Amino acid sequence: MTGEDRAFTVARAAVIRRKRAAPWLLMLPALIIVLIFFGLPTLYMARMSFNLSEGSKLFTPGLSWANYQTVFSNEVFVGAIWTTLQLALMASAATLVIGYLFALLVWLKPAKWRLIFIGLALCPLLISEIAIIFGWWMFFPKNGLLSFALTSSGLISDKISLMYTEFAAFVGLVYLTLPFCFFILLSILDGIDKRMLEAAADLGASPLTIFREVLLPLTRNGMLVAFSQCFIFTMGTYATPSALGPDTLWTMGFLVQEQMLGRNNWPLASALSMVLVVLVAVMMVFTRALATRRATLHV
Amino acid sequence: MHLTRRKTLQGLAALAAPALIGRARPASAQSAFAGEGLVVVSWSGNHELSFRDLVIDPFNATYGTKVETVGGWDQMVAQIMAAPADNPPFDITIADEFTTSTGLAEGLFLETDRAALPGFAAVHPWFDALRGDAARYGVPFGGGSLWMLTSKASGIAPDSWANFWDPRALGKTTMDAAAFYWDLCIPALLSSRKPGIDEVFDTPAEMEPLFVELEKLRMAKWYKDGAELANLMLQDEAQVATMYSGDAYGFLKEYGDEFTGAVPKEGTASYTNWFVKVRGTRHGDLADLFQSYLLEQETQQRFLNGSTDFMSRSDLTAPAHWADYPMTNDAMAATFSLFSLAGWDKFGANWEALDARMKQTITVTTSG
Repeated sequence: MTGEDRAFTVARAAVIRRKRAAPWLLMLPALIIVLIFFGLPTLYMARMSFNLSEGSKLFTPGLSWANYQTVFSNEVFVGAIWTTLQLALMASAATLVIGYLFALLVWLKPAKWRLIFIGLALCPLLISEIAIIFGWWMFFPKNGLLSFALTSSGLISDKISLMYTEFAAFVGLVYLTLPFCFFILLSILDGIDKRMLEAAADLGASPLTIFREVLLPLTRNGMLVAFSQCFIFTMGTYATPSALGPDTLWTMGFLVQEQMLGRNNWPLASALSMVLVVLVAVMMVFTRALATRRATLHV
Repeated sequence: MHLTRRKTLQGLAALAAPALIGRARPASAQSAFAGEGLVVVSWSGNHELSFRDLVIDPFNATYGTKVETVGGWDQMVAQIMAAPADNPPFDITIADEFTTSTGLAEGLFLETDRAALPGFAAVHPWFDALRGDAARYGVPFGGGSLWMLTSKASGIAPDSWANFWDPRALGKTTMDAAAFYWDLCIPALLSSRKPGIDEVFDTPAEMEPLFVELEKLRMAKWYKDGAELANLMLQDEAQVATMYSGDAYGFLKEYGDEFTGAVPKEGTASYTNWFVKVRGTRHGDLADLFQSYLLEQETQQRFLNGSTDFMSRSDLTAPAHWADYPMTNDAMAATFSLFSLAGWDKFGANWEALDARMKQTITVTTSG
């Protein structure tokens, strides 16, 4: 090998190294932010979950599984884990369906409608969760807007209250997560060439077949991402289900808040939070496993 | 106005407070802290609004300071713990017995030099009686209690806790689901087995009759905060409620045509509002002055006239909206059963068992 060849090989190896390092270098700032603002607190929380709670102190340093034993042996906590999972799965699934239909509508409509629909979808994001809760408090009760609309339209004769029901909590959660789902799906749909639908139709495919054979595979990964996003949000939020749901709707988020602030038991609150984090992580791994390599290109 | 020698001396002492605490000579007292800031925590909600209007603003007007108040409820200790030890998020915090217990256990509060604060001379001894060593920390501004609130349309008067069990109130009552220890105080006040709320400090087995009594109620909904309680009452979902005195004044002022509230004849459960200096504060002298201001007669009378909290001084006059305000130390002790620090030690030790039992009670009594 001549010196020129050796120099070329070395230069080529350097280029390959740089190319391999480039994605990591580009990711580095975001990675640092994630590690500092999310990684470290999670580690701190994990460590806190093994501490002890004694007397009036917030925690006593220690290394014990006692808090996890409490989480999995206390009926209230176990019940809350199931309740939270069920509510999050149902709300995320419903949000996905509604968000998909809404995003599809906006995608297929002429451009002049697009801004109006996007503005509508943005509305919940412009208002705080607490303000939205107050809005539902005016909507669901016996003397609320819904009851008034139904009685005055003659659909029902007696006033009804949907306030403090699991349905109200479910609707509140769907409303909160819908914008996130909608924007994720719209961005996926925007990456699809609409002429593919026309081509499928020209080849004789029915609308249902076009949806099943063309649109669904192309948006599958986006749907999984949107579902994951909704699931993460609905698993963790506690104000909406707590304020709209029945007295017995004890979610994990509510119990974390109760232990953290109401009881000043940081270790138990941390153990419960870690269980929440693990459940969300499992769901993320599961949805990731369902994603197709081809569809990844569109996300 | 008739000026007694005692009142004159107290007035002079108040004027000289900045000098007494070491920052300024009396002549320059009112400008010694001009422009300086101080962050004081009061209870969130109506209490915060009243405290800003009736204490903070007049204080700033007098001393040219930039004192501000922020609302808190149960997160103050966590916030202080999370902040650097030499730079706390606030300089003075309000602390009831629950907050005091944790704050002292974590060493977050600073002692108060009582000798430098003349207002202490006029404070009801009741405030110190159950305080123990913790009395060395902070100043007792007053206290809060449970009020009974009823809708006038219900025909039920808020004159006895027993009215919660009135057949007309079935399905129309509401109590606090979060701070459930206050709910247990209601059957304890009605019970004659032990004085006041002392039954709440028993073992879980001994407290079972309190849960049984609560389970005879049918709640419209167990509320989780003051906003939800107000909504329940205004939407006519509930007609009989427990309401914290910190919120009661504002609510009754606004909706007094439809609702009425009072401390029932059996007396009520209470907590005390001490304002404690936070360790690491960089405004120690101004904090001392503010603590002194909290004990002044004029400050306390002004606050009492605009709230349903009770105050610590013994020389106040009953406000128009609270004709039977307890004026003497004995009346104070008879009216308010304190959820004391010792009580918290006993209750806290059984918290998990009591919390689980309370959730059962909520499950069988709720309609919402």
